[in-house]
Amino acid sequence: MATSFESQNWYRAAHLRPALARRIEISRQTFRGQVWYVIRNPMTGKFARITESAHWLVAQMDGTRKLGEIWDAACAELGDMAPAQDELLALMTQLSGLGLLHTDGVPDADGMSDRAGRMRRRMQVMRFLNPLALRFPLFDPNRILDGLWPFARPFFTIFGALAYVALLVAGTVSAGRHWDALTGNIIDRVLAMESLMLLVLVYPLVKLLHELGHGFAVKKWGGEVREVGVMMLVFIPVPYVDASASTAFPGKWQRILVSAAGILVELGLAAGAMLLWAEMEDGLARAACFNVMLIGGVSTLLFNGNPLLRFDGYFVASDLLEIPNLGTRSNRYIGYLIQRYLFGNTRAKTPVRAPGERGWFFVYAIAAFAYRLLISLTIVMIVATRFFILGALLAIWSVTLIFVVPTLKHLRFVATSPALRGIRHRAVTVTGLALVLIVGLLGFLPVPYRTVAQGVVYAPYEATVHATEPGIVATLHAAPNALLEPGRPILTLTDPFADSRLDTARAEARKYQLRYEQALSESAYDIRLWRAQALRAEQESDQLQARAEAMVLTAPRRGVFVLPEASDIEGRFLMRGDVVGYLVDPGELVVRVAVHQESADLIRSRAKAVSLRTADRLEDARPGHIVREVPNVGQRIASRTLTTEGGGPFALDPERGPEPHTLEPIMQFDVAPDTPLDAAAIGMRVHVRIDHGDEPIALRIARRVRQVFLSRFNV
Amino acid sequence: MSDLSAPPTGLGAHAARLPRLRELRQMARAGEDDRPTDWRYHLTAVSDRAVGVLRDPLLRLRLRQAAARARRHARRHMEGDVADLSAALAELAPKLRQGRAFDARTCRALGIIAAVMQATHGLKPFPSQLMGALALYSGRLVEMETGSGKTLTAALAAALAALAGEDVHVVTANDYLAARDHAQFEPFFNAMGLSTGLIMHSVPPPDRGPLYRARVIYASNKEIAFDYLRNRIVLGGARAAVRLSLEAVNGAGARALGLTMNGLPFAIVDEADSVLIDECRTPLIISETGAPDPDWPRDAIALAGTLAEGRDYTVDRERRHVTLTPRGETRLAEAGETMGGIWRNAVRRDHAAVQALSAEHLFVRDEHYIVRDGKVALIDEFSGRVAEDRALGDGLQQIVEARESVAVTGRRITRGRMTYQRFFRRYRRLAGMTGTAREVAGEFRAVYGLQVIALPPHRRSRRKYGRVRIFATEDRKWCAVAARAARIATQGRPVLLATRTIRASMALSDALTDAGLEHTLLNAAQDGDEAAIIAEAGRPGRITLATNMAGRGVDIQLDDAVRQAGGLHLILTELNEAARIDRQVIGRCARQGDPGTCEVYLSRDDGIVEKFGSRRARSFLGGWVHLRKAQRRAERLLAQARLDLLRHDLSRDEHLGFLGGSE
Repeated sequence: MATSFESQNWYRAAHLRPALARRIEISRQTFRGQVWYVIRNPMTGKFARITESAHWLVAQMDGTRKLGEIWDAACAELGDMAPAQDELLALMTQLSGLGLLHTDGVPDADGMSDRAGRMRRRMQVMRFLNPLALRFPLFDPNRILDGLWPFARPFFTIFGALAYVALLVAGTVSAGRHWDALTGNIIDRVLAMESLMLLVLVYPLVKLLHELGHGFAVKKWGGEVREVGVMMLVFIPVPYVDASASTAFPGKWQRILVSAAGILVELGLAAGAMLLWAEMEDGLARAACFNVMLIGGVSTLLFNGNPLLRFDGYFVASDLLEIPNLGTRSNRYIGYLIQRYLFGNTRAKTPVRAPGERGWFFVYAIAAFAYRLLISLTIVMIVATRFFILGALLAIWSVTLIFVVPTLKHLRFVATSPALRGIRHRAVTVTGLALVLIVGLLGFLPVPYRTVAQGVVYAPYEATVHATEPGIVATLHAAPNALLEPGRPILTLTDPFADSRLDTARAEARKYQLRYEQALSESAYDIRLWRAQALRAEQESDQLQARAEAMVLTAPRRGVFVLPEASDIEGRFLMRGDVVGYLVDPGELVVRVAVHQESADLIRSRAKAVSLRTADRLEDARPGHIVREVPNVGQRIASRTLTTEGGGPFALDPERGPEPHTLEPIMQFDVAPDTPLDAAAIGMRVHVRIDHGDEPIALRIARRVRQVFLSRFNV
Repeated sequence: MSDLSAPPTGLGAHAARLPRLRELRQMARAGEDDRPTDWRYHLTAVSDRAVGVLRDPLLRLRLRQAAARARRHARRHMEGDVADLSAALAELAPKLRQGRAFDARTCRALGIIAAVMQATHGLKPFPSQLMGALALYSGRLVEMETGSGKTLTAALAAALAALAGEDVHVVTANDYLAARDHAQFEPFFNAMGLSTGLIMHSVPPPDRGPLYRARVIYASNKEIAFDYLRNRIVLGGARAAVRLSLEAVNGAGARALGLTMNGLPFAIVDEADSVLIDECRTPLIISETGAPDPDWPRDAIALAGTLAEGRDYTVDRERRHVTLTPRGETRLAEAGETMGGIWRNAVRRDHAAVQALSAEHLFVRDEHYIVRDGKVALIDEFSGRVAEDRALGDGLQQIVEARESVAVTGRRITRGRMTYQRFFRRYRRLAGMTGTAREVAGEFRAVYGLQVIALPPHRRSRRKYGRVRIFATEDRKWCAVAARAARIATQGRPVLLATRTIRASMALSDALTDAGLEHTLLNAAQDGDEAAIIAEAGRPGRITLATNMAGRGVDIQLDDAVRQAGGLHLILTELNEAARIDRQVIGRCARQGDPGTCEVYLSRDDGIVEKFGSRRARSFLGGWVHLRKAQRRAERLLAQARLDLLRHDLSRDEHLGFLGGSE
């Protein structure tokens, strides 16, 4: 039925004389060319945004006129714009609920207090429903702010603004100059323990200044700040102020500045810290500066300044776009689109009130949802790595809040909402289809499942040719990549000291021989002594002789001779045990692949097909198969090629050496290509793709979750 | 239970006219059990059924034991004369106040009450009636076979409660029943020293104060609810009992003096499903009549005349509403521009057009209203009676009047408004009885907190069911019904033909006349001495035609010849909006162990099939299953509408609380 102009409840209101509350502020604001009025109660901070015609009506409510008279006047005055009686009552309900309006009637006190109690309980439940953002109001800071205002005033002048801009520019330039030093190894620096401690200390300080910024900005235009408190944001206490006074500011830019003040303060701090950091010596103060920059930069970008989350940036964006209540209304718009076009509900009401809002609503609703999801998951991940149980609970919580609750709400709406009467069949069908589609896509549609990893071409130990003696490579006998029989000489090592050592030994042997011969005629005791000495010297010279001969390195086995650095081998000095090259049977070359420990189970249990692409011929994929798992599951990695140092995915543990060890546990396994690799490829990076067969996404997530639990509980 | 203490005495003659503080407090009490109407409503409704499977047999067992005890007491007191009995009761009464529903004292009191009943009326209560009385006394809803003496059961329970110190309202479906029951049992109550009152429509509301001071009050649901609403309006915003009584003592007690009622203590609702469920679809509204404005409906009809169905508006006959298309709105805007004045305002204009279109398409003469004495009177779809006091709202009444070319009345201006649901929820204690409750047991539980308990019939039913016959068209059905009625009537049996609407009864009456059959027509258009006609309906060979509710609560008496011939034959000629109502109607034959037969004759273009049936139900394939499906759909939609109304009423209070308390 069309909206009735007259209300069935009018009799309850027509004789009453409504009056606006005594201390309220009304300000006129323009959004996208439409005039709105904000009525605000400065004591409670509650406000309502009403249309021009509603304002006309509200303005008549001074306690002397009866509501009936006001409405009659409105009909005469406003014509088509006049609200229906029910709309007027709804407006009054809203205003009185916010403490902005009262009537001379005796309100239903019991009922109202009952409702207020219910509302309060619901609010309390809501508070604890979202443990990531608990609010604890502390006190009324208005006086403190008034007292501090003289110190803040200079910042809100033109000179203050200029100085601020100059500071920002200087900071930015400095940051540009020191970019590499700033960003090098940033994760390691941030996550180091002492750095974290410092961060925890600096963070509330920065945030306090941030909130002061909001407070002073409100003060600047005569607003009041009546509440300050602490919010537990992801279990980190963050101060907040109630800057809602700014909603009544008539100017768009005033409101924007209030919302942006916090970010501006943080950016200013970051710029100042940058300048100091560039000048300072390493130490605690410098680290603190770094942290200030980190907070000012990162948190501003990711959280505060980001309009997709409901922090400062959101309010800035909302005012900038002149779309009040952007978040809620954009969600409602999506709801409207679904109702209108999917369910075919022609009675659905669009929240779009001004031109151009539509597009923003659409984009914002989707982007904000996606971003919120991303941020929540990231937070969960981070928390989970430190406190596993908590992280798991958080994850359940986030999933519930982001997916389950909205889904249930939607289902309830579809099932019970009176708005869908007559089209419920279609609504249920559409919802059902959507659910089936989602469940089908996630739970049943097999999608290719692969692990991509890197490996190196790896020769077995027995194929390695080691230098048996130290020496300089004199000549290379064997041609690289030639097939050698066992015993064939590979190269000759010259030891510049070997000959002289041999000469010395020979001379010594001769010396003792002569001493011996001399002693034959002198003393029986000496005979024995010199004879022994002579024998020893003789042996030593023989040994040296043998070693001088062994300087020719021969092939220990049959195989293709691979010399990784063939061009500059001659003249190089080799220590005993150094790898000279390899004698490989190309068939025995494998690719040693390193993956994160988490993938191990998957690779062990389900490796349908493996394909390899060597770094020199990326376009050729060759099949292979896993031959063995390298038994020492640990952090020692096969080659530096696979570490971040060598361009691979694994970070090196800087505290362990000299052999390369990764920070995270890894698992390595050997893949044998079905067609032999070129022997020359030893040590080369290989990109490996392990195909696990097709699997629906839901199963994949389940597996992952199970794995995480198993690993955490060491089962 | 402190409210039950004796009233303060010694306030003097003036004060004696004033309501007592206790009464003021009771009237001021707006609190009602706020049983939820959200998802928990459905949960309660469903879980009640599940729990009942175990609970009900146990309760019946307890009731049976308690009733047996009461019977023993009754037998013991059989010889005592009325004075002795009431002396015994007076002695027992103070203890009853602390007693529980089925304890020894209560059983004893009931036994003595039963003895009083026998002494004054010569009626010896059956065990099932004693059980029913106890169940009522304990605040339950009793389902008893039709014709098993519910009135007597209610009187027993009322006496028991009144002795225990509670004021009792026995709520009936109409004035006739209230008067009949009151007349029948007044000696019974008086014998025990309990005063009785009868509220009739004929008594002007301001004079009802003394009647309401009685301990046991018989009244129709409408009268009592309207009285309550009037009282609440008198109270206005001032609800504080202390304030009212101060006003009263100060002599400025105009407000308190305007009160006639004595709060809402304990109600025993007869025909509970009709009163608490069916009639709840429309809220109670007290209104004043404003100045008539004959131009507005005329203009609205003219405005609607410019529109064409399909193009400019659509009519949803099932949900009974008209929707304008955008094109229709533009067309109206053009028309409104030329008409000027209030027609310039889009909301007012569209609304007037929609109302005019609704009047044209959704309100059918003789089905929804009748024109009598130059007036449009609404027909209650359920009772089939003319609702004298009721008028359509929102200008619809005026448009209908203009269409029927009778004098346009003034618009009603609402002064108070309330739903029956909320009215009955405000009773401190509520009990009820009916022949058909189990279908809506969940609703009783969820809305009123009433637990339904079905009691076994006193005598085994001898009703025989015939075949269900389905016809393609109504005309064929009427012919078949007429032929069937003629055949049964020649066997010397009376025939009762039940129709759903007045229109249907008219059509059937025509068919009977065409067939040359003499018959009596009983419907809202000529209600007056319904009871007499109904009482006559049991004569051999008589054919009576009644809308589904006409003469409800009145037994059709059969003589022995008729019993020999096979009793009353009933033909249900149309499915009602609820199977429960069908059952009620069928309950009119084969009462109290009499023989009787019933048959169901339906057609595929019956109102309910047209409105709620699937395409299949309306096609030649439509069978019993499809027609039942249509009925179930109607049941569902009506239940939804009732819940909506309650929700709306509650949320209205929620939202408008700042304006002052509700009525």
